[in-house]
Amino acid sequence: MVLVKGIMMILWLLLVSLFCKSTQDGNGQESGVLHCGSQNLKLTSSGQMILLTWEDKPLCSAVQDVLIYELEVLIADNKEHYDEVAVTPDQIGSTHSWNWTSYLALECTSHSVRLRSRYKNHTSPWNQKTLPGLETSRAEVYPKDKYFKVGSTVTFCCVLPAGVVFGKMYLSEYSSADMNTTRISNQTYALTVHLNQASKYSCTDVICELNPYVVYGACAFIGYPPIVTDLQCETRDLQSVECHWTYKDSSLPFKSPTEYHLLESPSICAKSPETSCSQKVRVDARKRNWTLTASNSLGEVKLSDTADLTKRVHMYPPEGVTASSVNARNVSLEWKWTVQQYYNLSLICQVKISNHGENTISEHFGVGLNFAVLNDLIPNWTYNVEIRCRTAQHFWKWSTWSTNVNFHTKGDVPDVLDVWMQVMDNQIITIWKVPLANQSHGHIKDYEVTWTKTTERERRNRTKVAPNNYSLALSLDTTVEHIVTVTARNINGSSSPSTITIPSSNPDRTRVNTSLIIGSNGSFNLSWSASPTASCGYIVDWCPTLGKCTVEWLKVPPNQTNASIFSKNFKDGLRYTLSVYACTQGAPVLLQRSEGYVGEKKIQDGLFKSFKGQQQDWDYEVSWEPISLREQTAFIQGYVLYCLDYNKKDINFSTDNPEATSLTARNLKIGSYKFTVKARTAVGECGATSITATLNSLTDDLNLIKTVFISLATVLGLLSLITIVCYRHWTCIKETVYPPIPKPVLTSTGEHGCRHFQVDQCHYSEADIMDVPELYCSAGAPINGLVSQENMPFVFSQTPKDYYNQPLKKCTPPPLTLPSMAIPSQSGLPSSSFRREFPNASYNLIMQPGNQQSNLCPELQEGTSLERSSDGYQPHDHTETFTTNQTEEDPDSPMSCVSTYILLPQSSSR
Amino acid sequence: PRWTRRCLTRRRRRERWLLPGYCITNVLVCSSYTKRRRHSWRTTPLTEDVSCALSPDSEEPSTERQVQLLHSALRQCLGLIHCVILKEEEEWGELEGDYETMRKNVQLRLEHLLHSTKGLVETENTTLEVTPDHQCNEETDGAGGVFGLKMWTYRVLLELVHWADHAAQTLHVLHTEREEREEI
Repeated sequence: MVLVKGIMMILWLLLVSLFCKSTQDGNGQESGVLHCGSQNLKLTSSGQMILLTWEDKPLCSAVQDVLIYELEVLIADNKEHYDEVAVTPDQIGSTHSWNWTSYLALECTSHSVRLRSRYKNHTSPWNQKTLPGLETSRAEVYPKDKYFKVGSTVTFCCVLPAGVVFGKMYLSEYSSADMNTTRISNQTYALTVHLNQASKYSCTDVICELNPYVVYGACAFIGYPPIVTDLQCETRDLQSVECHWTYKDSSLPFKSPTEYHLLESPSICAKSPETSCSQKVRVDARKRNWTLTASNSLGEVKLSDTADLTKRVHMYPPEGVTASSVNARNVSLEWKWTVQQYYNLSLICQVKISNHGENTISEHFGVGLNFAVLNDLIPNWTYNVEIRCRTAQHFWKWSTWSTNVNFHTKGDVPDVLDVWMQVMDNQIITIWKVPLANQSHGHIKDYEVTWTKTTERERRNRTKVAPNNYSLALSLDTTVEHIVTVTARNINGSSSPSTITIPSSNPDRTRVNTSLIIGSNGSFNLSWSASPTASCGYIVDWCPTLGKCTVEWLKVPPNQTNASIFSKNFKDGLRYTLSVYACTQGAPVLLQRSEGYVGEKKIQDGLFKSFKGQQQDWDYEVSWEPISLREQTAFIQGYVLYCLDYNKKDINFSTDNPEATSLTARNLKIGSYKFTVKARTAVGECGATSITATLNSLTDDLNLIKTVFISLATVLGLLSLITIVCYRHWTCIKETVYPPIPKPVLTSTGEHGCRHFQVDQCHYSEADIMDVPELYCSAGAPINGLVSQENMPFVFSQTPKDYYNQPLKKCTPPPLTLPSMAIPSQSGLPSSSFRREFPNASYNLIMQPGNQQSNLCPELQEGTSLERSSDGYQPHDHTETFTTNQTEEDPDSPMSCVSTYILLPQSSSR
Repeated sequence: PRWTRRCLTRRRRRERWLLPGYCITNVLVCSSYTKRRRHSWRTTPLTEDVSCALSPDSEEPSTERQVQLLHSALRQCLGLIHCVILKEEEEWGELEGDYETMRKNVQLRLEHLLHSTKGLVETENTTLEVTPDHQCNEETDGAGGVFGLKMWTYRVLLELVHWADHAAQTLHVLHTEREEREEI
């Protein structure tokens, strides 16, 4: 029994232990170790993502609460990531999965994932799976040929074979500041880069440089997801939708072009760089969303546009445009529509008519419009037209222009000529403008001109003018009015006549004031007062003021009283006359006349002709000829006279009178001046003309008077001096001039004779002396410009009363033997003055020779004495000469008598 | 740029006699490559996988023979250029940019150079071909991807530069020798 009880006890104990064990087993854990865990782990990868799948162990079925799986990722044995996966009781028994994307390409190095379960503080052992990195015999860079968005941060790795030394890693086109290199393991290096720029060329190179230098690498396509904007959908044929968008380069042109899908359709509608595509749809009058999907390797973009396509009809251009009916001034155009539905639409079409560079557009309306009529065309003219259309309702877009169509209108008679007249030199010139191509409507064959007096309209004169002439000069009686009519003729007929009435040349009619005008910008802006007589407007004509010209004119409508006058013939610096006429039913009436320059030019220097100057006291007047209009290239507003002396001091005198022909510089001083006159114009002072003059102290008359007075004073002074000298030395002079006249001695004894002579000689009375021989000096040519006063012969009255009857044979004194020549040198008077006052005169000398005193007169030696004594003076021819025996007597002694001079009767004693 | 300078220097030195195709080809090779395939690395050594190799002669051949050998090498280069074009079009598609135009020009001028050299040294006993001599069946750069293709293209172009340069020298010698013979 005890044994039985013992056995029973053991059984109970066994049962209790079994229960306890079974309870323990039911919780899957045994002393902290969880028996519920993972099994069938599978580690796969996709790109850089690792995918782990596993199942629960069977023991886990007993778990009644949330079971946690702990996951750890190890990159090259370094713990890189931790994660947990919660499994609810109802999920136990199913396959679990977990994924994680590595920052590294999986080729770079080993990626391990280990897994364990945790339940109520009990964990299962780790269960690990590993993806090994790439083992390579040569260096490699990963990832290869992958797409990256600009702005992302990417890690590249360089995997090296064993024994190879790493150098550096970098991206081409990137700066080192954007890159960071780290060592992952012995064989793996990583380069982390912030991609901030898209690939410029095909791709960006990721370089791994070894040591020694060898490079390996990979390509990275760095760009953008599709950048598409401005989606706009419309219909062109009312059977399909056509969408347009704008596209920005994503920098992935080669490997991954952007693909477009319309309306979620799986088929590709377009690829970049296309920016439109279409798709067949049912077009009805309702709004719809039109969606475009753009995608490339880096992403996808969706755009939508909401529209009722019936309001967005973008028509195709008209096809087959033809000019079906071409006339002189109108034409019919026809065309077709490629889309039949257009014939049911209310349309607006524009016809663009191109005419020698000028475009005009006309609009035409109609349902299914397929024709248009163009009016007001120019005959004989080539046109180019193109057409575009749109729906009349719900304007969306014009179609593009159709292809160009050319047509040439038929010819017609010429347009009415534009006729004007010019009266010149008693001739009436009828002139008309050359018909332009759009006015002649065909080749002009000739012009016909008819004319008649206004009083004799039935008698018409007629002439034809060749087509290359555009005027006709008629010599008509200008005192009466004439009517001139001109028509042009081409192959189609004659133009309507153009008539002008030539006014009679009544001077009163043409008398109007002339105003001045200045042009601007190459034209004249002319205005005038309205005239009630101008029933048909105004005519402005113009011509150069000087010289012959061909008049030009402009016709102005009646309601206009101003005109801008422009001509290609206008020249700056040329004066034009512009006349405004009133157009009347009769002859034109001159209203206004202006003269001016379209542009003033500086007048050239040397403007002033006959430029001369004259001193007037202390003033100096310069004068010139009136300046002709031909010389004036600008309006002269006045003149300025500049006086520049040699101190460079400039003084000016001016006048505002443009008609002035002289200017006076006043209050000048003695000296030389340069006088310059310039014309004042709106473009400055110009036309400078100069003269140089010297101002004297007085005028010529004053100088003359002055000279005369000085001369008189000098002569008077000399005379006074001579008088004084003569007075003081009168005795001597007397003795010299009047030597004692010997009394005739008949026959006497020697003793009386000589004494008597002596006495007489020394006691000559003064009265006797005054009877000196006369020396007549006939007027001769002045010497050295000096003339004796009043051209009077110089008279030296020395004629002795009693000697007229003396023979002259031997005693005719030569002119230089005149006492006057000898006396001054002895009496101290300057001999030169006398010499100058004597011309080379001939002398009618009547004298008695006996008055020559041998000791006073210079000894005359023929041929030599003259030169010495008279300074070139040449005496008249003498056949006989005096010879004086000069004695050495005391000058104070009484004059000695020389026997050869005075023939004394020889005494018998001697 | 360094290659370009070298090419230009040589062109200046030899421009008086050069055949029309050579130097332009040479310059274009350098410039086009540097423009489109811009790299910052230095010149890598020529590898054996890209070569317009010649069979070695035991002794120094005559200049005519050298030109014949040159012709053969250039023909292989032409084959490689064809191969480059094929592979690039395979990778990028058929494009019509500046790079593609220059690439076509290089090919045309190389063909012209081949015709010129053929005309210079072809004899009755020796017939020279001008068609590309390459099967284009080799791997570009293993698993190098696009970068590998670029590297391979680069090496082909280096090879072409080398042989074009060699052609310039050899043809110059040939020209000089023939002139001397004519003078004699």
